[in-house]
Amino acid sequence: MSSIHNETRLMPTGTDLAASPPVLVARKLCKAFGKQRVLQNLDWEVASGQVIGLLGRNGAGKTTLLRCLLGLTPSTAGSVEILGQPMDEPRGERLHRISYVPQSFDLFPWMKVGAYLSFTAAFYQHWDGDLVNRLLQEWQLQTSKKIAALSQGQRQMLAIIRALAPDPDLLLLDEPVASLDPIARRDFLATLLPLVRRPGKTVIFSTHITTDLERVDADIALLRDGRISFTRPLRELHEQLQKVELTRNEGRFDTAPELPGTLTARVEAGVARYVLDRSNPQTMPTLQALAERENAKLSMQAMNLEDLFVELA
Amino acid sequence: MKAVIRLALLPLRMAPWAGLAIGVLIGFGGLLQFFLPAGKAAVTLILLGVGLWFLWMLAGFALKSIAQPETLLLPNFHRALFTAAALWGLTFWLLPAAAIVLLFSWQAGWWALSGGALAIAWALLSSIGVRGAMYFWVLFIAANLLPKWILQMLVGVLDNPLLPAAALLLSVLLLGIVWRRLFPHDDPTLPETPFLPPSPGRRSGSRSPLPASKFRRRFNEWVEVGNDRRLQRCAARYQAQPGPVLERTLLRILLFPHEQIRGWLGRWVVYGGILSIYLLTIGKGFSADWVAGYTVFLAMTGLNTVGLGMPRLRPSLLDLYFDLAPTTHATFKTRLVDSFLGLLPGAILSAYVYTGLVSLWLAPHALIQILATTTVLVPPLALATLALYINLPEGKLARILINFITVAGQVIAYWMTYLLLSHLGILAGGGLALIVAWAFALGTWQAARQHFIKSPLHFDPPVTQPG
Repeated sequence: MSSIHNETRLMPTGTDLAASPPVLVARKLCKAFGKQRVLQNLDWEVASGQVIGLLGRNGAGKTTLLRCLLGLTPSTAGSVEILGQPMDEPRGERLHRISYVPQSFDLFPWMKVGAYLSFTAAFYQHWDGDLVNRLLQEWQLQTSKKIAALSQGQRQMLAIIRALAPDPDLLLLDEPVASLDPIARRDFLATLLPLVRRPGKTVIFSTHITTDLERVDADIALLRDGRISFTRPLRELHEQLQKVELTRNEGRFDTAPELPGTLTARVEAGVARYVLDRSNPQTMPTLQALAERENAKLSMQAMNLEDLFVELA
Repeated sequence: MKAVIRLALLPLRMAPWAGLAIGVLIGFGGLLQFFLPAGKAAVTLILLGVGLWFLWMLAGFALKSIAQPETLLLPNFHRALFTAAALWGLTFWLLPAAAIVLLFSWQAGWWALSGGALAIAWALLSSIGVRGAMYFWVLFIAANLLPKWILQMLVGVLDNPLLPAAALLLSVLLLGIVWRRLFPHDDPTLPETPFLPPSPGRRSGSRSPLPASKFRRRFNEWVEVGNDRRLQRCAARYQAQPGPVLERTLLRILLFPHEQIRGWLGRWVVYGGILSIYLLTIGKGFSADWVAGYTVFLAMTGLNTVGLGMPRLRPSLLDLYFDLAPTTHATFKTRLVDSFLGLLPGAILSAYVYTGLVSLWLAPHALIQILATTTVLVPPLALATLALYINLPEGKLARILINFITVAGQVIAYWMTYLLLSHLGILAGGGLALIVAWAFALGTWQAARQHFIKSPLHFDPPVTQPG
């Protein structure tokens, strides 16, 4: 098993990414189920080479977004381009450059693992048989077993193997590790990263397991209120987003004073609590001025991803 | 107590119209008692008996819908279920038996009690899907065909006072089977392709597979081995030289694993065996062409699995969609619908086997004419049947209607073609039938295929309905 922490980061970063052509572009994407509007004028651009962790609360629309992007669920309005072409139709071989692991997958439950993989491999020009054999062995999946006889976690492993084998340029994974035990999760991430941290490979995966996203150092996209609130590298989030508390030395806050770069603000027991984005150049000077003016004690705290999720999602 | 009342009322809540109809039937039977002349009580008793039997059928359907592993986890579920069952037993078994004691005699009441218990067990077995319950009907049919002296002997046995006790014991045994079938301890059979053709002991499109018998498991394994080999060979050939013909073959192997020599043989042995027994015991007096018409329907039962299986295939379609990488949604559906044609060889060959058997057992002299009718009619008929089933609506009533029309159409078309060949000769009659049948079949298939291709593509499973 390779170590995630020691892997070489081959992915283009920072300004390189900005120069990369977008692999996915969504414009004004809307999706409604009856009166319930799930996606609302969603704009999103994902550059080639990014590894994105898509975060959002239950019911935020992560699965719907992924399915709309792939054209599996018709969107109500808006447009999607994937790999440089509109996603209004599947457009043939392009689908072989995309792999998708849905949240719940049936595969073909009546088939045996070996027969299923042989069947699938037949359709692909690029099929990494060595990788398949290695993963089957590492994850102890028997080819003679029927898919229906596999546990939920094993089925998820099989779906991941099937998704990785064609060496896709764009990999979309909807809660790919939800059913995996911690060892299998680490194995999966250790396998995934060297494969995808290569030029031209892009991964979007939705998950609730924030520690995994921290482990892979993914860029974080937050889906909230039907829109992507932000897509930012995790390190930048750690550096720039801070939990701030203002406690008056005398008296209490009734409302949280306005501050530039505020992401969330509330008052609890007379204490004004914020999540602030320090990347806004006015944030820190204004905050310090406010603390002095209000004669308040200022405390700042870095946040891990789970804290961020709780505060922002 | 709330749970008991809910459980007791569940059969009527699930099917209120059926409950109402049964109530009317029972009420009508009761009213008749006051208007019919003395000595005609049998009519009342039959109506009441039939009404109660249907009522217990409803109870069976309701039981089947709640017999899930999760329901066993509900607090005091067993106690509530047994109490509700006791309420039903008191109202729809013991009270009617007591009424018969009051109206007639102790002996009649004793018979009502034991016969009623047996009828209840039979109703429950039938409604929860135990195919063995069908054999009761066979007993009735056989009773009509028995020689008189055996019947007289049976009537003598019916006078035996111990017979009702034996019936009670038998019903206890049957209720035990009902319970074990509803809440099995064995692992359920692994799901098979949604397009598996129906066979005795298994319903097509069954959502909750029951534990399979050893024989069935072994047979399935034998078929699977054959299919796996076919798949490996075909996949290797397709990978080396992709083409539409091999792609269709691969799809057929994937979706219809039983449509191959081993699967067909299994079907022919089972259905052919049952058919032969039927023909040799009961069917001797029937006309061969009439029976052959019915067997054509039997040969085509596998075709309706397409309509029933498509909604269940939807979640797996996603994988296939990425595999096939179609240019448009329409091309994906075109490739899918064309792969359904893979069901036709099995249906056509089965028709040859069954109609051939009918002719051999009933009218060997008509073998050529029957096989000629099969040759002329069955291929276009199979295509037209498939066309009707590929867009099968999800509504139960519409399905029943389509099934009825299709079955009636198959049987009548066979009889008419046979008549045509008899009157005009094989060449003239066959030629005319060929033109008409193929014109109809191709027209129907084209229209159904276009409708299937144009219909929206779904990847989500259908909403599960209780029962």
